[in-house]
Amino acid sequence: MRCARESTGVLQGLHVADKSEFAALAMPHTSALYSAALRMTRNPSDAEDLVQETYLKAYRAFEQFEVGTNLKAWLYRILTNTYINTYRAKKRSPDEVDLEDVEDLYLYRRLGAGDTARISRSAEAEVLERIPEAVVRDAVDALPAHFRIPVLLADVEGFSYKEIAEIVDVPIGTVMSRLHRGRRALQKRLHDFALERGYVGETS
Amino acid sequence: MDCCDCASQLFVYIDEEMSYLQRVRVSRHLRRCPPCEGAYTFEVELRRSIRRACCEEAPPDLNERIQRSLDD
Repeated sequence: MRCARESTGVLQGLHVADKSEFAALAMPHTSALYSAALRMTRNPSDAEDLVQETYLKAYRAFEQFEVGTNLKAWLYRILTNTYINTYRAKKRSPDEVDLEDVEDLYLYRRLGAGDTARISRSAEAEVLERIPEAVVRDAVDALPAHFRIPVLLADVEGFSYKEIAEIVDVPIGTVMSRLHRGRRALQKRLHDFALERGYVGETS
Repeated sequence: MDCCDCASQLFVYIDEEMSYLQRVRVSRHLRRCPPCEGAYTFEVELRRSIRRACCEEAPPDLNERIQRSLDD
């Protein structure tokens, strides 16, 4: 009965999650999880399966969840683990893929006129605006998964380094490294694609 | 702080993962350095573009599918 559970919770100082609360708490995150799943699997059908499987696992494990803590991060952890175990395992690719080193401000330096002394903010932003969203998505998708996932978690979902470390289950230092290298590599890919498809011109 | 230092710390600055003192140093440099300020604004804009491009609505049937599998 609800009253008994509530008083038990108060006595323990812990609000034990109730499965009947699951839908109300967890369902609002389906779009966010689907977005992430789509960028992980790069396939709408697999993304739907991945999200469905995530919710099922989350529901079954919900009694372990401490209400009031970060449900979204908890769901993302299940999503990420499921993705790595189910879809990545199939590929048998090496764990740490090497990513080329890319300089800071890679894209910024190439979208403007290239003259640092008279950089006009709006010129670079203007060119950026011309690049279609599909090209941005392609650049994200072109990152190896180990780098793509932290970038998604930080830049699309706004998780902190600490949260990302917990979601992906690596040390914070590793998160920062993958994030920074991933973002720079993303900029290079974005520039390459935009160049190929004629959205930006060559800079000397 | 020189422009190279600033550029290499921009991500952490934008991520708001710096100590207060580090943050003050970067802010001060940005205020005094138009090119770096331009780079900062661009990086913020790029991040917005990434977020916009990668946010999808869940397909309409997905929520139903999930609810059904939970009810089973």
